[in-house]
Amino acid sequence: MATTSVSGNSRAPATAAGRLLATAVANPFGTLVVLGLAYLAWTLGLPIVDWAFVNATWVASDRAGCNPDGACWAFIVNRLPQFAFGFYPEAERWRAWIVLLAPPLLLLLAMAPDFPGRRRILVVGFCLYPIAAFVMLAGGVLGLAPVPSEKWGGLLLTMVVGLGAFVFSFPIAILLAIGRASKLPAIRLLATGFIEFWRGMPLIAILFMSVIMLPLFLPPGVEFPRLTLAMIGITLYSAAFLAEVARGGLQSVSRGQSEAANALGFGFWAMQGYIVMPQALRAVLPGIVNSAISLLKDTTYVMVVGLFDLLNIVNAALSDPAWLGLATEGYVFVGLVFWSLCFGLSQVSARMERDAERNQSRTPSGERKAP
Amino acid sequence: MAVSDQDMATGIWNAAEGDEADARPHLGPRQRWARRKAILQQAAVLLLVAAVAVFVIRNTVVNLQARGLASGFDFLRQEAGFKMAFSLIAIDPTSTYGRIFLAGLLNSLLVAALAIVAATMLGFAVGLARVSPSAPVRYVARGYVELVRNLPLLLHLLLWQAVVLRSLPVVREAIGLGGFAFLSNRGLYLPAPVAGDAKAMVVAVAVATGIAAIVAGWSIRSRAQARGEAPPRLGLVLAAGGLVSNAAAIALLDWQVPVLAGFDFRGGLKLMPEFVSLVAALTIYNSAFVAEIVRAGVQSVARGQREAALALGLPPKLILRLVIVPQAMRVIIPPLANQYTHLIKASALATVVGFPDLVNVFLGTSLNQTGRAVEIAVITACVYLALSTSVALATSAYGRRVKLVER
Amino acid sequence: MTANASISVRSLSKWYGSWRALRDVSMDIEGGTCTVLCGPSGSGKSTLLRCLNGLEEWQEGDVVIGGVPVGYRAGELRRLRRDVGMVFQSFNLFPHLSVLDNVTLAPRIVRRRGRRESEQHAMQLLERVGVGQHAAKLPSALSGGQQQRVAIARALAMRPSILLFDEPTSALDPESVKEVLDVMIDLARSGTTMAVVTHEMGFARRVAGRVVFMDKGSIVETGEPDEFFDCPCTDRAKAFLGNIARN
Repeated sequence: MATTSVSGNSRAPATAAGRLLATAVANPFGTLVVLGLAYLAWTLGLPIVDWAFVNATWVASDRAGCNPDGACWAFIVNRLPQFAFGFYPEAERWRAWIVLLAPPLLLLLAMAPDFPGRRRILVVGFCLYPIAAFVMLAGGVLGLAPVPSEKWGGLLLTMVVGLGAFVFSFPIAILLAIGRASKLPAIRLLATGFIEFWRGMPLIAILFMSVIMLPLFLPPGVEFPRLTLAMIGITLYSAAFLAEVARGGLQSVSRGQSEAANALGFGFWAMQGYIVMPQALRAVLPGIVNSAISLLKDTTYVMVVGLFDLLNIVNAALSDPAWLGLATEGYVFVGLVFWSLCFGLSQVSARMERDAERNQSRTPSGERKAP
Repeated sequence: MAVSDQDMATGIWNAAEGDEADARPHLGPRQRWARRKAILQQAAVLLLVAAVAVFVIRNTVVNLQARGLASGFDFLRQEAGFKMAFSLIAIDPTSTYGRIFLAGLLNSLLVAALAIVAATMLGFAVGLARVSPSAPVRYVARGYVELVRNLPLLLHLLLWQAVVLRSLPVVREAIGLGGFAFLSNRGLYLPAPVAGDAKAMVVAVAVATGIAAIVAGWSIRSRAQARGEAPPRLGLVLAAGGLVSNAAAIALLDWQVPVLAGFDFRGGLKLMPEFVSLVAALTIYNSAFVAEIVRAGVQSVARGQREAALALGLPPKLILRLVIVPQAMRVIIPPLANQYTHLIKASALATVVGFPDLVNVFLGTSLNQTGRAVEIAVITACVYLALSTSVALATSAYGRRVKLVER
Repeated sequence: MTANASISVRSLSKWYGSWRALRDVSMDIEGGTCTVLCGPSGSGKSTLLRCLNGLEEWQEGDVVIGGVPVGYRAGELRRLRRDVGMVFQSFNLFPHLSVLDNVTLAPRIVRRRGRRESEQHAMQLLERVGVGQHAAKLPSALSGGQQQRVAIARALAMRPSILLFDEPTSALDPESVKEVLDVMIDLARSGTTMAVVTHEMGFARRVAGRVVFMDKGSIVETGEPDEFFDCPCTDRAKAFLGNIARN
């Protein structure tokens, strides 16, 4: 790949066209690539636009009602409620709406300008969300009609599994990270073994095992629904990865911090909770968001244990006789949803990283004020 | 580091290099207390873990009895009674579970190995394009990375399976690739050497020596470079000789080209569509991550080093190859190895499309048939842990070597 | 524990591995006085200071603070450390908390005081050390001297009966040294028990009741500051003073 050198030693010609020409001459292969891609965009791009928009059908009652030359988006439109909520009973959908809309609202709050107590609302909100969401969806208390977890599905299930596993894995991850940094060899060994076990296993295998093995581990007579079993597996898997992220953060906190806390009379847990962990987690915030992105994408694996998350419910709908042969439309729709969620989150993480870099470069020179 | 801290704190060093009589490390009441406390704390934690383990084991035993499931590893010698759609070693219904396990493992390794090679090549190309001097190339590369890595791997796989492969022509109208290989919706047909060929042994030896020569030549060159000497001619000759002997050996074999006969191709190697889509999805998805690793590595050394190299009068095109990439490798290798571990684990997605990998035939079919849940889970876990551990060990060995060279 | 407790060190010995950092050190600090510890680097002065609040473990001997021997159980140490404030060379402020929160955190969490009460007290202390107007800022926005003064306020917020200073001015630029020393002089004059590891002779002469000179893990010489600096008795002290005078 001699063509992609990191060079830039050209005297810049005055006009834009001249610059373009100079670049083209200096880098003939790059120019070829660009021309080739332009050709591809022309020959492939236009048909795609035709398919997706010009010839697309948005309203129809079955496949036959769609223009065969274009995308049959009517399939998605008709099935949208199911893709969002699975088989959640229609009369109780308002509960699902609340569960689905709470995370974006919390995210908006996170982006909003600071006001007193905002951080507390955010932290409490995210920590309580999975439990509140479970109670809200499962019902059976507070006068809510019970809805078995087999009926949850679609984007709702993706959210519950992803956010739930993420939030539940957080405290476990912190304990594991502290354990792995412990001075006591037995504790260090246990934490390391646990982390490496869950990190080394494929998530697919973990899901199989949680559905098959966990019921064996439980006392006879105790039974968990499939969703809970899968959640336990995903949570532990995610905890192992988060623990490694948190460990990186712990290493970035200087020894002086814990010494200062000790000298002020803090106990071990108070020191971790108020001084070490807040700094450690802040230092690796982008890494935490990246783990969340991975986890969100990994929730699709629940397909293998027969849960109907967004991807699986679309996958299942593809075999509906009234809408046969619409795999492309279905997967493009799922792709759009996941892509926007993951890309959005990755932009958040990238912004955090840039902010952190800027802060770091400012600190040493610092705006020093005269006393 | 933590260990030595502890030793310092409890003063249990026995070094005898003290120059004076009073250099006698011993335990004061504080150290004895700290030691006792450490032992008690660890004992408490271990006891807790042991209690949980006992609880789990007792439940498992009771549950297994209640379900009338047998236990033990003897099933590995029993006949499995099922066939595999694809395997590198011969499998028939009389094959044992042990052999099924081996075939599944080989399939998993084959998928992972192919995808690792392909994803690395594609990823390096895209990663270097990410730092190209040409802005359009950079944008296209960035677009590729962002598009690919923000979609779940499973979606990639289903897209390949359902959209790309289903839209390929039927066998009769298979796309010919140079007349040797064919692509249809039934899979990819490749030429293969005729099995049982008398030349096979000779060829195998030639290939082995060829590979050994390439490796030896390369390591002679890289060692010389690490010492800062001009690479000796011998290394180049060895590597080139190895390449030539490999090529000659491969050309010597009797290659059988697949031929259309009736409803399917005959002869050659047929790769099932599930295999093709699995390798394709793993390759594309991981290439985006490899690209980001390469970009970060190149950028981490590019800044100061490029100026230094330019000042020495090196032409910019050589700088990337001679100065930046070798140094960037140091930054690239550890996360790259990590990505390989991810890829190996992700190859278990084969189950979803029905390709008979380890998880599919062993943790899936074999477990269903034998009911030896615990045994099969333990074996599977051990395999994957061994794989990820060996990648980790190789990386840390590389890290040690790099550190040594730096000094 | 009484305000302005006394410190008594009785034949303290400490080994790091096979290396002996403190040899049979004995020393008394009267309540309400300021003692300066000095000596070449590696002489054990910082180690001795860090033994006083149990940040370092030792093998032989006792430290008695306010009549109570320093214990080794975690709870005993925590209780002791509430009453013994410490100021570090590298400040060790909590970078994720504002200046005010740095000062109020320990009283609120360790002493379980109310937020309002802690904040009032903290503001008084911050005013006293001259950084009251920076209370809402993060430590990274402050100069080194200001950060060290916040660190002193943080130690004072626990209402300690003893203050330990571990080379508090070594990491500061020359202008900032004076700001911090002025605060320390003010504290010493108000009758706080202080043990200070420092090479600032000016400070020692102005407020120290006694100077303790250490070398190779032992106390070599103790005396009034003027005596010690003007005519040290031992050769080792003479050589040391010659060295710091040259720098």
